[in-house]
Amino acid sequence: MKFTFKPSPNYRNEQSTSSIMMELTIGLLVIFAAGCLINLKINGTTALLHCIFALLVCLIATVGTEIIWCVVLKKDVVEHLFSSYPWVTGIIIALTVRPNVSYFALAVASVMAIYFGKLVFGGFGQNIFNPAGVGRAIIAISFGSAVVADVVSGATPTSTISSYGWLMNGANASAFLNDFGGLTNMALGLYQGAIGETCSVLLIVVGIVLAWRKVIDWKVPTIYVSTVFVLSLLVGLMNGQGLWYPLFSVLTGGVLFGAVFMLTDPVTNPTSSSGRVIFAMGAGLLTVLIRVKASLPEGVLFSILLMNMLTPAIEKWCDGNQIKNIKKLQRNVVITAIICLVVGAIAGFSMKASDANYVNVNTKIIVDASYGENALANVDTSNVKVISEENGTFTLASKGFDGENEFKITVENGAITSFEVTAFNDTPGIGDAITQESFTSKFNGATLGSEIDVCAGATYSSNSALAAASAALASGN
Amino acid sequence: MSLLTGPMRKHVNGHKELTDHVDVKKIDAGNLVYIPLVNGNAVAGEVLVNEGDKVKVGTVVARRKDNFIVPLFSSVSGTVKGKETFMHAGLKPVEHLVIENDGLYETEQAFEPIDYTTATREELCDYMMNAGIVGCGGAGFPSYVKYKFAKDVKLLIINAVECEPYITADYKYVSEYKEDMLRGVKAMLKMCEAPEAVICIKETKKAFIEEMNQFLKDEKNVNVKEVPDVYPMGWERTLVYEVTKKRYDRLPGEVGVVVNNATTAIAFGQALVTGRGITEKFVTVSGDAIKEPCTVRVPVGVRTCDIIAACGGYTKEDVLLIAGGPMMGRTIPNDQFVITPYSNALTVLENVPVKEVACLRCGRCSDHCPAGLQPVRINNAEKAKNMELIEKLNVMDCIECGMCTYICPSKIAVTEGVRRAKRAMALKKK
Repeated sequence: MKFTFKPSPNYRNEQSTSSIMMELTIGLLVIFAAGCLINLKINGTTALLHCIFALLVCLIATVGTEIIWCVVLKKDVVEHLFSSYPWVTGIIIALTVRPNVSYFALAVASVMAIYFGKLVFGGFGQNIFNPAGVGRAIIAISFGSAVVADVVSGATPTSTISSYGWLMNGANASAFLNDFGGLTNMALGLYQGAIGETCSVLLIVVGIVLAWRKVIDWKVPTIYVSTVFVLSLLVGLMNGQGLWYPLFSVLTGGVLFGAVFMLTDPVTNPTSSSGRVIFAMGAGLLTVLIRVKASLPEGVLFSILLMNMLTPAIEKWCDGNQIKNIKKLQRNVVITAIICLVVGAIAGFSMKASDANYVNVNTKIIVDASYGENALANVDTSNVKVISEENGTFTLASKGFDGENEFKITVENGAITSFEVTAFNDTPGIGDAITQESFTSKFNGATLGSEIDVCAGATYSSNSALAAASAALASGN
Repeated sequence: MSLLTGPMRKHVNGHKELTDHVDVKKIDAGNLVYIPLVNGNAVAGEVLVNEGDKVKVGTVVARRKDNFIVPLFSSVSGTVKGKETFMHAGLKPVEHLVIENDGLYETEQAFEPIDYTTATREELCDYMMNAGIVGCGGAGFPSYVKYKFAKDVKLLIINAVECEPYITADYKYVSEYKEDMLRGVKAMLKMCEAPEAVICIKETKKAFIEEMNQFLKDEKNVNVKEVPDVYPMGWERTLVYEVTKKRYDRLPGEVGVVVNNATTAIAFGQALVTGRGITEKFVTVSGDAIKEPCTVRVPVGVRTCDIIAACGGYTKEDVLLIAGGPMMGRTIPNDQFVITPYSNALTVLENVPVKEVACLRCGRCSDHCPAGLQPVRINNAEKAKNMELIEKLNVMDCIECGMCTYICPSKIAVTEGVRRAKRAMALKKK
């Protein structure tokens, strides 16, 4: 007979960290399955295969990194993996990218996410940033153009609205919404976007189930989404937008995915309830702010990483006995709410609806076999906006390397009679070769069937000119 | 406001079904009983009997006499054999008065019974003091102190919540001695001059609530109040907040409330008639490593090993023997300790190793802490020996209810970390 001494309590809740992580994994896989089906439906089999391989690459890279780390440090691999859960990071990275991202980019991002996002900080529980967020940011910043062609077709709603400064006048707005099948389609996720971020309805259902299972804290997603909604509503109302605007803001661009799976990562959250309320409100504000005032198409990812950085400060702000300090906590939350509303109002005040006419960017480019493969007719015009048109003279804005170049093109009887670069916003000294007479003169008399060579060393700028010419010719017909 | 503080409580699986419907087993004292000469953390310094003296059930054998007066009683009739020091349910070595049981259970009135309807408030307070009535929730705090200084009391709360897992002793005891409890409650109402008393019972105990409602249907100012089945509903602060929605700083008197355990009310109700203190206890013996879980009725001073034997013995080789429930009770590394006037349970659990993993900072401990503390922050501050932060985190408000360890998904002994912080803090204050 043995009587063991252990300090009280000697009674434990059934829920464990591994059960939490397993349920989270199941939730992520459900979202992944839905993402695969959506891509199969709207982009075809290639896209489906790309989704599956993207997930496999991320899983192999994340888990592989941790295995190598264990081997190097002579740790027990299995025990380490089941107390570090690298696959969760892998699945999240795969779900936050579009299916056309190159496997190389995914692999590099996954390795970096695990190593620099987690292991160097001391492993699970010690990391400052959400590891998957780190990986996704690396893809966004370093691998923006590392995409595989012909996997997906068309732009995402957020990148489209972002090129109009997140604001459109009435007619444009409804044309834009129609292009993506309206808010219903956005709720169902039947539009171009990241693998796991589009199906809003399912994300809400999975989020509720996970919150009910106490896997995630319901407060964080609820308050985050509400903040995004309220601030978008505010910004929208100040600029004459209706209820569609906040609904669109919440349904697209990974707000719901970020809310359910990334913002709730407990490791990078404040531990106190009041801290998490403030954390979620701050992330909501940053999301809206980055969207409407910064040049990034998407604000969710960076708002999460920025708030991760503020977690220790929020933690400190809410320290102390939560009952005795309830007044202080209420004050902190009210201050945060006021900051959100004031900053949101300032952002809304400084916005201006884009005058540019909305151009359907979602049309699939069909290579017209009656023209040559390199003919102007087959140039991708998805980044061109028609600003104005008058008697066959078009003013167009076309995305170049890092800015939008403006062109004035006159079309008569299906041929260009005048081609002018009216505003050049790419790199001076490199791209400005396209403003030279030697380049612009090539367009005189050009038709949809013409093939025009790009300027050596100024591919992006040249392509913007080709796209503008193509769009003008197409519209002029 | 639970949005900013978290729920601060949680339903725990009580395993009450193990003993709920098992009849109370009466256990006689063996040849020797051992009256622990202690009350709470204080030693009962004044021993009133000598070796060889004859005592009866109810004879005052010793008295705590520091700031509070608490007499201790013999639970059997027989002869005083001397003193012996061994480990007590409080995990400390304590002197015990050894009494040889003659098996006759002759009784003695230590003091004259009193009619509470005619007695004054002061007389009743003195009576409660002399009867050695202590809080039976586990701490053994002398009850008369609450009434002596009671002022502007609006509500008397009788705590029959029993939120510790496994324990059903209070429920069995109240069910059996309803009249005694009502008498005790009425006397207590008079002592604190409160207009009303509520008996708090978990809402999940439907049959018991029905039984009590039936019993109290003619009473105007004693009612049953249903409270949620959560831990630690039986803690004074949580209970007062649940009933009155008010928080207090140090004592419930600040919000016009006096709280006493139902068992205490019964002990007092009995003492009013019999003129004897607490000599017998209802104790739940339960857990997953005891053969026949049940509630026993046992004289104070009986050794645990005798009770365990009467319940069929242990079913596992390596056990945690807990004096009290598994949340707040202490594990005692032997089964020689005895039942005190404020014992209510023995929990026997299989010793299952717990595997600790890294903290994932989920904050469940902070959300569920009934005292509103942030155990994870306290643990981290304790590891960093950051005394300034520990103080800022109000570590001394911790009551060691065990919620943080219970809830921790990483299976970290969070409560133990908070205890270390408390000890460090206490040392610093000295």
